[in-house]
Amino acid sequence: MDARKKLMGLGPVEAEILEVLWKNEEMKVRDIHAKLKKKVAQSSVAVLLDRLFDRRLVTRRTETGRGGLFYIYSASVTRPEFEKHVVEQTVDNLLKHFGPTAVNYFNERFRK
Amino acid sequence: MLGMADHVFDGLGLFLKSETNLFLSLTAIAIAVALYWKARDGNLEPRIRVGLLYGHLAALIFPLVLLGFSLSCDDPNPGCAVAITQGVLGGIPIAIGLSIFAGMVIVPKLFLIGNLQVKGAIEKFAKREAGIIGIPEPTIHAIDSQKPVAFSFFSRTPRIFLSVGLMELLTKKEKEVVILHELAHLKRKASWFKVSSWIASVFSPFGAAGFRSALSAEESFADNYAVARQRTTKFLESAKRKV
Repeated sequence: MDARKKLMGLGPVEAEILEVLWKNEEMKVRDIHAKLKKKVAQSSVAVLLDRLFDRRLVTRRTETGRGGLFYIYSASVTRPEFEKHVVEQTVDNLLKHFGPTAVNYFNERFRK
Repeated sequence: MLGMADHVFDGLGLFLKSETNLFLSLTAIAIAVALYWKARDGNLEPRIRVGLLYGHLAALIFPLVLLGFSLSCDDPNPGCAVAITQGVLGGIPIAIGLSIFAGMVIVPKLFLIGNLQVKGAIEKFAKREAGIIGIPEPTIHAIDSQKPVAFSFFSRTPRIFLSVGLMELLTKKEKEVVILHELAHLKRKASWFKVSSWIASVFSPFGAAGFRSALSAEESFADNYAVARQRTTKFLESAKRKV
């Protein structure tokens, strides 16, 4: 699982946040924090959500509540879409950096 | 080109040989140092410190402007070194003036663009406390950011800015301590002082270190006011831990 997360370019908590959002449609920061298995501060969860937002993996909207305003987050990509994007990026990088070697490998691999 | 630069250095030499120019310049620098030293006094009202800061900058720039006016050119044209030097030296007070305008007028307006006004319990609390501290009722604005930030401006009306991230993170009492802290800044018109300190740190060689300590004194004052109003340090400490 950790190897997959590394390939996805996500830290362990970031990956867990995305998993939570994929299971639930929309959530507040506080609720996401409550669902995480890893013990991190709520402020850290907020920072990570901000990073995921910058990477366009999550979207957010503001809502008004008793204490003022708060964000509601949701995943902007589904799990299959995200995994497809990761695979595409990885393969493109392999082809870019290793060119013919990568092509030969893919040919042999898919011949099997 | 070198010939033109020599012309400027000759002009500088003549300037320094003049007893009047030398006396005026050294006096101005001494005044600048004295005003800088006085501006660092954290017990003074920010309004007075702002005046001292700009007095310090004016005294510092005075010899440069005097030098610029003393230079002359037999054949003045925009490309000559004298004209360029006069332009640069004369440009410094203009740059300071533009910085003040940008800091006190344009930047606050930029923060208002696209930001929501916050209503409800926070606004009611801020208005009530503004009456107690003796300033006009502020408006509360939300900054669309997850980062926990809060600041205030007093241009024509007092305004407090809180990020959405801050409002999510803090409890009701912690938000109140932030509001009290910002109200203390607004009462002392600290935003004027912060902008002026920044400008002075850019244009003055006595710069950043001197004015940084002045800014931290303002922060301590605002913290102390908030704690005095709440009669406990508990919420200030917990808010700072979270942020």
